[in-house]
Amino acid sequence: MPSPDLLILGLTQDANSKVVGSSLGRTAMYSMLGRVTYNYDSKYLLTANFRRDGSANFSKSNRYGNFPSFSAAWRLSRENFMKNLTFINDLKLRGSYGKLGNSDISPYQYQSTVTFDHVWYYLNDIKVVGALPTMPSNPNVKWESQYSTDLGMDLSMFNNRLSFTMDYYNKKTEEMLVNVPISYAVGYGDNFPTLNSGSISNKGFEFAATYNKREGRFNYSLSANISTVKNKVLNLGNKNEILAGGVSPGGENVTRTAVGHAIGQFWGYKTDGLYKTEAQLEADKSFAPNAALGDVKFVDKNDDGILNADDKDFIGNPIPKFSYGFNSNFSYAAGFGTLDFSMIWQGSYGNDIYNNGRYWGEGMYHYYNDYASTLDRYRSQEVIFKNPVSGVTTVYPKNTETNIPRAILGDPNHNLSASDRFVEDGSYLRLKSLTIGYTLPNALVSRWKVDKLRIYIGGKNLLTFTKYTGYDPEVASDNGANGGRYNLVRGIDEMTPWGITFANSREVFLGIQCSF
Amino acid sequence: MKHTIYILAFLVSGSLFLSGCKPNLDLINPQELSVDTYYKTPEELEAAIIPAYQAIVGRTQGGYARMLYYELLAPGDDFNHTFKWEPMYQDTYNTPSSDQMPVATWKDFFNGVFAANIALDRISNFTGTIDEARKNRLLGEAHFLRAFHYMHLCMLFGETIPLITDPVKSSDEYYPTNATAGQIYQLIIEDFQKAVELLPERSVLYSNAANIGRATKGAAEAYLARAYMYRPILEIGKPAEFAKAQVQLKNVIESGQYHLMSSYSDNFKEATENNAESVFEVQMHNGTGWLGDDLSDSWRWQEIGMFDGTGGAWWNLAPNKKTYDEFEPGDPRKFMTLWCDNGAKYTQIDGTVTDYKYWMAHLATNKDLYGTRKYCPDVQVADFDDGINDRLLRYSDVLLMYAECLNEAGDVPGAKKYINMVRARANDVVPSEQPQLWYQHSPGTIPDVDKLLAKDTVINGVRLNTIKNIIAHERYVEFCGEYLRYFDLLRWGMADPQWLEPLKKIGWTPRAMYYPFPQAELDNNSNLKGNAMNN
Repeated sequence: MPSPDLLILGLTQDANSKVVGSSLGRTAMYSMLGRVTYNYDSKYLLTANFRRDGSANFSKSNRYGNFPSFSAAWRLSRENFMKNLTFINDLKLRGSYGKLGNSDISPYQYQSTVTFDHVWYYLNDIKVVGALPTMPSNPNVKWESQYSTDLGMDLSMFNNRLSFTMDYYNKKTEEMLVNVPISYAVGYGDNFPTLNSGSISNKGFEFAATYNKREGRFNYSLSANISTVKNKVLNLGNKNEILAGGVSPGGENVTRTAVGHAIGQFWGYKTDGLYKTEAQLEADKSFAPNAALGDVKFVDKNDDGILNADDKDFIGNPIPKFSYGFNSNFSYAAGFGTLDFSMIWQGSYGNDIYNNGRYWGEGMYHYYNDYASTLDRYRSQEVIFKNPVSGVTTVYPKNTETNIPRAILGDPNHNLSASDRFVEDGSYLRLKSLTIGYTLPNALVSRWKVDKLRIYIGGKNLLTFTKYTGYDPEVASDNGANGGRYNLVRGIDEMTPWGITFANSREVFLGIQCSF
Repeated sequence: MKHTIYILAFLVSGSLFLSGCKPNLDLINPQELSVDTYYKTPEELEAAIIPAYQAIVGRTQGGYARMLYYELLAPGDDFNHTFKWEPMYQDTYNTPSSDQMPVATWKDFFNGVFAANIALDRISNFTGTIDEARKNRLLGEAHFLRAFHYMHLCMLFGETIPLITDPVKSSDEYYPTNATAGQIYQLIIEDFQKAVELLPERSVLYSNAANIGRATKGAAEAYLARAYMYRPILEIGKPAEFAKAQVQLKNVIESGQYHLMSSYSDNFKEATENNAESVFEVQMHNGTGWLGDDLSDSWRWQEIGMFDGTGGAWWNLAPNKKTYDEFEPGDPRKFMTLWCDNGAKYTQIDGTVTDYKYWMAHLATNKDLYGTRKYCPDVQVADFDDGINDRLLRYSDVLLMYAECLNEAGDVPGAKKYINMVRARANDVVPSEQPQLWYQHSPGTIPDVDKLLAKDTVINGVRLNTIKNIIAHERYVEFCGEYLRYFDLLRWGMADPQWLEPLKKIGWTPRAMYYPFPQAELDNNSNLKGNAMNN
């Protein structure tokens, strides 16, 4: 035990130890809520909320936050002047404004502490436990606030067969809780302080429409939705940018969050195809001293004749222009039973993906297996390869009309640097699920004392339409190296042979649903 | 009723432990202790110095446990990377700022600087009761380790790294800027000087076995001397301070605390760690579990030791033909340093005893490279790692540095005397080695300096007709794989460009003298400018 004040077993034990281990953390919250609602004939509706929250994640002086919100609605369909429009069943205009709080950070951030976990050195082969502050604390950390305005309309028509919902939202997050990167020279390694740093805004529209109808034995409903978001960083404290999304290997940051731009934009070199002539190589001799025919031609953004971080630029946007979905349900009831069919489609449009899997699969810098796409690599002349084991001879023809660089051990030109080569259109449309069912007639199953017996077959992720070349355009939400800072690192596909992310699997299922 | 008004007001409280009334919101972390209440006893000050040592191993393994051996060895003319690891840029003087190794090393050594700074701050401001000798020893260790970490950072990244001499106190200090010329060197020298004053002699400190492995007065003197001699690397454009180094080295020699082991290979074995030749070494420990359980082990054996295809070794970095040729005929050190023809045998985990012929038969390419037997067990075990301490500064280095200082001062006979001590030991009979090796039965046959001069041999294009050239040769073979060759060439090359020729021949340029600052650091810290490799 490093100190008698610590009463936790195994605190300084290593993860693999067979000695018992345990950990303990505590959190607490204290909230007061108040609400007033006013309703006039279901025509005019007003609500006022107030909440006051206290969180143990903040110090005494910053502990409490006050969060009021108001909403109002006007049901036009109940007004006299709407009475003649009988095809309208319901029409409501809504508006709301509110302030919400966020205290979702790791506990104890405001306290400065020493840790004993994984702090040790062996002297004379005996483990000596030490003490070290490993977390940069922030005594001033406080509530993040989100100011949210929403204007909307609900409409249903034709005996409620057709309904629309429309919303415009405008959210502004202030004093955002961010793990702000600091210099590694300060000594805290990858642990960054949680600061109330900056503000962002999110604006957008959401539409949804549903149509449902019964025609005799045929019953169906169709719905569609679409939403847009426009994100902008308004302020990021005094530093005004955060580079994140360190991809493996090496942890090169491939996103940059900067004031005036959307959060987590892809960041890297721009490229201009490959070096295909000796004249190009000669012209760039000092700019790209290690380049040869078939290497990537990087763009010297600032024209200073040197390729370095100053030449990096925004190279893609992981946030879709819009995302959308379609649902449909059909059923047909007949004497032989009921047939049902349903589908869910979802998609996104206009978002980019940083396909880091291609670092490994198209790297061609080592004796590794590569993607089949590398067969189209640049070859300045024909290559004839005789397999020494099988004796089979393969001819690889000269191939200069391509954008895939040459294969070269050790990658001397740094073709693998983060660049727009790895940024791809991530738009997709996917049949997320499909189910076909058959319910046996009641008359039949009631003999077996069964209320309902349904047999169904279906699948998930059966069809995907996309130009994305990675395994899955629905890129998993985080890469581990960034400690959950999801918004800063979205859209990075880290699929590798020893992957951090996993593809959505295609599933086919068969089931029997039986209720008694 | 057309009007409805509801008014609701209620209180909610929640907590894991309490329910009902208002919970305690002043929670303290039950796993950690407040910085304000810690460092209040001598034992807690002892705990403060431990992480400054741990940084040598590397909390993110950018220290001697894993990555550092590539960074220190690969740029030399003595080691090449093999086909097993591509891309390895350390070898080609083309390291990109996004490379994974320098960033881990940067984090780990600056973590060590931080730990040393915390220790210095808390120990010097300690108001409780502490034995004066203990306090001095702790302060000495902290100064020694801060200089040690800065010396490594400066050797690898150059003298424009940030200078941080106090633990960070507020968020204003999160983005340090570049040090100016000479600042880092001055800090290294002053810290080692203070460590020399404060630390006890080895025999005093190590009389308590629990202190074995800590920095001693002798270690501080030897490192101070090394820093004086490394000045051309640590402070650009400035010459080495041989006279000052000579004083420190003389003190180490005259202290009587150290002597050469009779067997050269005792310097590379686990059973003979912290021996009388070891002035300072990193303390590795291999636990009983897979990979030693706790990141205190060395992967050197697995990563850069045995040949490819032999019992699953990785062989990422290998001594080259030049290194093989550098050993004189009859030098037993060749077979203790390299896996090569007529050398030692290696027993795989399946019991197969293998030798050079076997390795060549199983090797498809890179047949002109060798294996590194130094710090490598002869028998494979079912794990990657081992607990062999890297000897970071040996007494034979003290002797050869001293010889170099004497030679610079014009004392040729003195220089010869100390070189001869090292060469004489190299010829010793080694009874514990493998039975087929000739030097187990009869001594090595390398001549003393005078006879070597008389022979007028040329090795790898360098004529052994001057004391300086003989020292260079002797350092090459004596310390092969001990992280000195590249830096020797650099420091000599700054005074006499002919010593840079071997590096230039393999692609070195002045721009590539240091590794680039990690891009991740520059991304986070816009106050810091990179070095030439970043441009």
